[in-house]
Amino acid sequence: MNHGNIARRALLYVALAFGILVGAGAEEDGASPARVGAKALIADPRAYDGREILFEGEAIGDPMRRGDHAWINVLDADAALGVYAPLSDLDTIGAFGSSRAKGDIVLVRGIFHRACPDHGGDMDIHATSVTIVQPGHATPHPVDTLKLILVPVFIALAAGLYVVWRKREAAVKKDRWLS
Amino acid sequence: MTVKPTLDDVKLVLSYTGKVVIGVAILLVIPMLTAIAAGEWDCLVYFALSLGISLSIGFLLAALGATDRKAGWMHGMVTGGFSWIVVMAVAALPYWFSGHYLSYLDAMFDVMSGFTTTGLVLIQDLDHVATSLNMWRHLLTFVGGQGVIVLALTFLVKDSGGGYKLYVGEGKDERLFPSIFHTAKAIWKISLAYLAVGTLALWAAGIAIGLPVGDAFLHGLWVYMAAWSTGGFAPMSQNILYYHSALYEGITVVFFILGSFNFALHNAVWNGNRKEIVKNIETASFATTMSLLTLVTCWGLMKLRVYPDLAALVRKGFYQLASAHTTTGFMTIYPRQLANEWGDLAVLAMIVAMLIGGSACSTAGGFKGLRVGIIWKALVQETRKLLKPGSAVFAQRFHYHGEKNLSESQVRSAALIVIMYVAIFFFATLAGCAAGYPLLESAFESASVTGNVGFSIGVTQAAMPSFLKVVYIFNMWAGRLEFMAVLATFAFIAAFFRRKQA
Repeated sequence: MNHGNIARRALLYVALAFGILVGAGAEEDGASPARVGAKALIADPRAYDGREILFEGEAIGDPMRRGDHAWINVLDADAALGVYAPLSDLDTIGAFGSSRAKGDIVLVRGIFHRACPDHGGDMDIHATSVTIVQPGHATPHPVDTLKLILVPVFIALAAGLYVVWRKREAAVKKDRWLS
Repeated sequence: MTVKPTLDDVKLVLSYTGKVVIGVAILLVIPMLTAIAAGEWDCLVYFALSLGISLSIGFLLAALGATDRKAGWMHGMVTGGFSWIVVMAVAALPYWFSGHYLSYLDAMFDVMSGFTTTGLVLIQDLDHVATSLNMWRHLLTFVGGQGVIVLALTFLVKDSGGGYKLYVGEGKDERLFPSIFHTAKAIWKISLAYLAVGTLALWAAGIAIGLPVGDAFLHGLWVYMAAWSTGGFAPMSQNILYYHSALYEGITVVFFILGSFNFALHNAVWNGNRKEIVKNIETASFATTMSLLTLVTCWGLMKLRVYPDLAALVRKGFYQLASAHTTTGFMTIYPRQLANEWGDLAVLAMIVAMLIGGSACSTAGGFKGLRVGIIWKALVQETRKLLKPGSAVFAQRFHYHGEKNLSESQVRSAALIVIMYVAIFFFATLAGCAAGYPLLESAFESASVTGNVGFSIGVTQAAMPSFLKVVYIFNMWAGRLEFMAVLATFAFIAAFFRRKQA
């Protein structure tokens, strides 16, 4: 391998590395929107109104299909926000949070609306993409053994007190009748 | 001179309270059946345990209170006040066992909020609450709307004279029928008939907006219960905003406005007297204040350009205002939006609406449209007197299920209640400020608890100081019972212990 080839190859690597760095920088500066939480969005909605944002949280409740879109409610640590997403994005979500399950953690990319003109002034996000960050899972709810043991104890106590109550009422009625 | 209560007086209060507790305990069967249907066995166990404990307390109180003494006004009033405190502690058991509360005080706060149809919540992780627990939450607010004593009167109390006194003690005084038991049954009949219609309407709407059939039914049932009882609870943390639907919002407006009307008005309309809606002083008062305050709210929102167009402005402005005025507390915005975006004018209009509230003898709170109407009529009368010769005599009349002459005692009674409401409103505002919240936010939350509304500007949270939770519980209780029962309870306890010391 001669020196000319080595120099050309080195130049190519430098150019490639530069290209990757520039590309990544462009992604960082222009294309990738800010990640914002519900608390910040609700506290200062005008700062984000009409801007593209990233919002991460758990998909909860039921998705509600409306034509070629659906409403998905996404809950982060502070509050849930309505996400208006194309139906194709809805299909990517496998689990929605409920009493028996932790829903998928999703990353929503979309336009935030402080008071959406298309949806009666609702604060919402019009999603351009919804990706799964972490899949949901069923949440176990084991029966509490101590509580289970205490149930017949208190039911028996209630039955005993019921008998006492009826006897005392009968005694009061009898006294009234005798007097 | 205060009449000093005897041991028999205490027994009678305990006996009635025991029966009210038994009535509330029996209600636990409904969430238990829900838990079985939903396969929530852990919930079934804690509901069964709560049933056992509640029945034990109820039977114990009833046994301790066995007496042949007949109820007087004092017993009715004291039972009204005392039984609400006892059922608050008892009905909080399932909440506490569920693990969704940080303290028993928080659980009791939510029970008082439900029973008084306020709607503020301290529950944690509402979006993951079990179906059966949601059933219990909404059942509490539905029963609270009609009255826990009305429930006991329907099934457990047999003494007719005492029954009426208990009924008045709970802050209601309209007799729909000469018999108090028929009145209690009529209240339930009206509520259950609307329950069928309302649930059906919201179920259909739920399916139309994309909810699965089963969930649409449950959401429909619960949201109806909260709307009719002007309670404001909802199964999801976003409240009504969760549904993103004008249709769903529209149906809730219809039912919470209907719920805020007097049961006597419903009864009159059901019996063919439709003109009563237009003539009644309460509906006239409600229509007037509602229109004026909607205008003020929308003006405030317009000034700050909070919403992008008129449709959004009216939808948001009218919904929150109507929800506040009927003391429902359903929201389609986030609490902090009120503080951060709505501006002082709209928030002030909401405070006034929450304090006025709905109709007397309804599920609504506030100092009521009837009293606003009476005080307005008295003001008109006084002004006319100033303009007429001193010797002129004239009667001021108003329509309230028939034409009536305005009497001084009516005006005094109405003014007294309004003054009491304003006094405890200032008291809770002061408490909010003492806890470090800004004046307007303290006043807003105070109006919400005092009027049994349930709107929050963000103050009510599990992290707020315990003393503020206690103050809010007191205001919800006193506001719902319209003071007499609360004052009687304190006077009764004080008099009883004074006697003991003597």
